Amino acid sequence: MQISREFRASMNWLHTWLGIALSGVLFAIFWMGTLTVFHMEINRWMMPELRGGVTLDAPIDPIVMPIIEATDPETQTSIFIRRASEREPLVRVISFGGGERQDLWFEPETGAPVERTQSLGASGFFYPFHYSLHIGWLGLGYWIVGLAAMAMLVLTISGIFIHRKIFQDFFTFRPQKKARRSTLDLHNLTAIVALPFHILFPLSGVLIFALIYFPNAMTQAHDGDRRALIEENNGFYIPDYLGEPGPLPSSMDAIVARAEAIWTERDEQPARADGLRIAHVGDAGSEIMVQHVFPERKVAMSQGAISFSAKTDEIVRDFQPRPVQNVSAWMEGAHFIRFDSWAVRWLFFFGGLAGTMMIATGLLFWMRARMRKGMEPASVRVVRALTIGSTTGMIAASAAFLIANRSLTNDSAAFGLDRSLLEVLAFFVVWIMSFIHAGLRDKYAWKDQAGAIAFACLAAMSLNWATTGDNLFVSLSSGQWAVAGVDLALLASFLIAAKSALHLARVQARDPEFSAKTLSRAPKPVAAE
Amino acid sequence: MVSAKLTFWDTIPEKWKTLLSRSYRILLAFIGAYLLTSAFIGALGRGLSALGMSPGEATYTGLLLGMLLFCGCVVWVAATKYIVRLSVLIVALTGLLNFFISHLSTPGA
Repeated sequence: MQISREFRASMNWLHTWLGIALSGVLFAIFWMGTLTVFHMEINRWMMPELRGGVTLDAPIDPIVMPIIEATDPETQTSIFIRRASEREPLVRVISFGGGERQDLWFEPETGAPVERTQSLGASGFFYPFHYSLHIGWLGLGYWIVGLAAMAMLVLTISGIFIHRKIFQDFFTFRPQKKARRSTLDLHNLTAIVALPFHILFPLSGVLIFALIYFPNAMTQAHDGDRRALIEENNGFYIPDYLGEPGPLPSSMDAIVARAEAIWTERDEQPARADGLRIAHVGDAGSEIMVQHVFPERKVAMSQGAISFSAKTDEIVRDFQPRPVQNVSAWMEGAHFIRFDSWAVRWLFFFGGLAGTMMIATGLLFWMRARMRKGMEPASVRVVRALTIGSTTGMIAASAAFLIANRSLTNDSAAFGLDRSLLEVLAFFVVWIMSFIHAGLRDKYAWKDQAGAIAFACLAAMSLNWATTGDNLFVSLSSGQWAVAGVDLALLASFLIAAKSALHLARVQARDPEFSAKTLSRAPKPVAAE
Repeated sequence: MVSAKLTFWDTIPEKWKTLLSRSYRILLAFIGAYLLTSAFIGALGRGLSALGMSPGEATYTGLLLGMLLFCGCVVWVAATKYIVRLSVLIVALTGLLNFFISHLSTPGA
C-alpha cells in the first residue's frame, strides 16, 4: 500500500504535537509503571518486616476469627483478607466500618501481628502514581493519565505511518553518527522493538479505568447501575445490609478450601484463592466472597469469585467470566502482570524501560531539531529545563524517595507530616528542584543530574546496608532475591548514571561552547523523518 | 484590475494560522473522538443487549471496538482535507447514537 506524502506529513505533525504536549506526563507514567512491575519487591526493600520467609498454606482462622468475633454487627463492618503469597509474605486484614479503617498485617505461621514500617512503599506511592499522578482533586489525575494513554495509542499509530522503512529501523542504531541522528535511531529502535508493549499498555490501562473515562457509556446496558456492571464483569458483589443479627461464619479456611476445590476441578489445575471479603459481619445478610483475581497460571484475571452465605454456608453466587469479558480480562491481566512468570515480568520491565527511553529520545530529538532550525535561546532553555526535569529529575526524585525511606524512622515527623508523607515530600521537593536546577544550569544540568542520580543510587544502597545489615552479598547469599534485585538495579543505575555524567563532563571540557555553536548555526530545513 | 480586499484572516501571519488550524484539529480530534466513542460504546451496549447478548459482554464489545474507533477518528481528523464536513459528520453521528441510546432501545429487552 502506497501512503501519500500529504498523509505522512499530517501524521508527522500529529506525532510531534501530541508527543511534545504530553511527553513529560507520559515519561512519568511509563517510569512509574516500569517500577510498578516490581512494586512488591520494592516494598520488601522499603519495609524490612516483609523480608521474612513465606508460608503459603498456613491456616487463616487463628488470625481472622478473633477479629470477626470482636466486630460489632451494627457498625456494618466489611473485612478484606489478603492471603500471604510468595511476593508478599504476610497476611493483610483491612476492615471498614463505623467510619473507621484498620489495616493490620500478620505473620502467617504464628498469627502474630507485625509492626509495619510507616511508609506508603512502592505499592502505595509508585503504583498509584502511574494511574492517578496522586492528583486527587475531581479525579483529575485519572483523567490526565487517561488522556495520555489515548494519546499514546494515537502516537504509536501515527509513528507507524511516519516510518518509511520500519523493518530497516529495527536493525539501525548508529551511535557514532551525530547526536541528532543517533538520538532518532534510538527513538525508532526502542519504539519498534517494544511496539507490542506500547500498544498493549495504554489500551489495557484505558480498559481498567473505563468506568471512570466513560462513566455513562459503560453503564448504558445496565440502565446506569454501576454495581450491576461490576458484578457481571468480575463477580464483585456487595449484599444489602438487613439490620438483623445473624450467625458468624464457622471457619474461613473451610470456605476457602471449598472454593479452591471448585476452581481446581473446573480448570483442571490447582487453584489458590488470593483474597476474601466478609461483607456486613454479624448481619443476617452477611456474605463471604472468596476471590480468584490473579490466577497463577493464566494471564487473564478475575477468573473466579464465589460468594457463600454466612448464615447457611451455601453458595449464593458463582462468577465465571464470559468470552468477551475474557478478552478484556486477558488485556487487564497482562497489564497487572501478577501471573507466575518471572521471565515475562522481566520482559515487561525492559519493555517499560524501552518506553521511557523512546519518550526521552523523542523529546531530545525534537529539541535538537528546533535548535538546528534556529530556535530562540530563551525558548531552548525553557524546553531543555522541562525535558531534563521530566526525565532525569523524575529518576532522581524516585531515588530520593528510597533514600528518605531508609533515612527516616517510624516516629519521624516534621511540618505536621508523618514518616510516610515525609517520604512523599522528599520525592516532590527533589522533582521540583530538578526543574529549577535545570533552568539555572541549562546545558550543564544533564551532567549534574546524572551525577546526582549516581550518588543517590549509591546512597540508597548504602543506607539499606546500614539500617538493615542486608548488603548485596548478604541478600544474595541468603536467597533474598527481592532485596538483592532492588540493590542490583540501584547498582546498575549508579554505573550507567556515573558513566553518563563522566562522558558529558569530558564532552563539555573538550568543547565548552558546544551549545552556543549549535545555536548560532544558520537555520537549515529539516526533512520529515 | 481587480483590487483584492484583505480580510481579518489574511492579516494573521502564516505561522499563527498553522498553529490555530492544528490546535483546532487536535481539539476536535480528541473531544470529537471522545464524544463519538462514548456514544458508540453506550449505543452498542444497549443495542447488543437488546439483541440478546448479556449487558456486560455488550458493554465490553462496545468498549473494545470503541478504542479502535477513537484512534481511527483522531487519525482521520488529523489527515483530512475536509475538516468542516468531518466536524459536522462527527457531531451528527454522536447525536444520532445518543438519540438511539435514549429512545430506540431498552436494555435486556
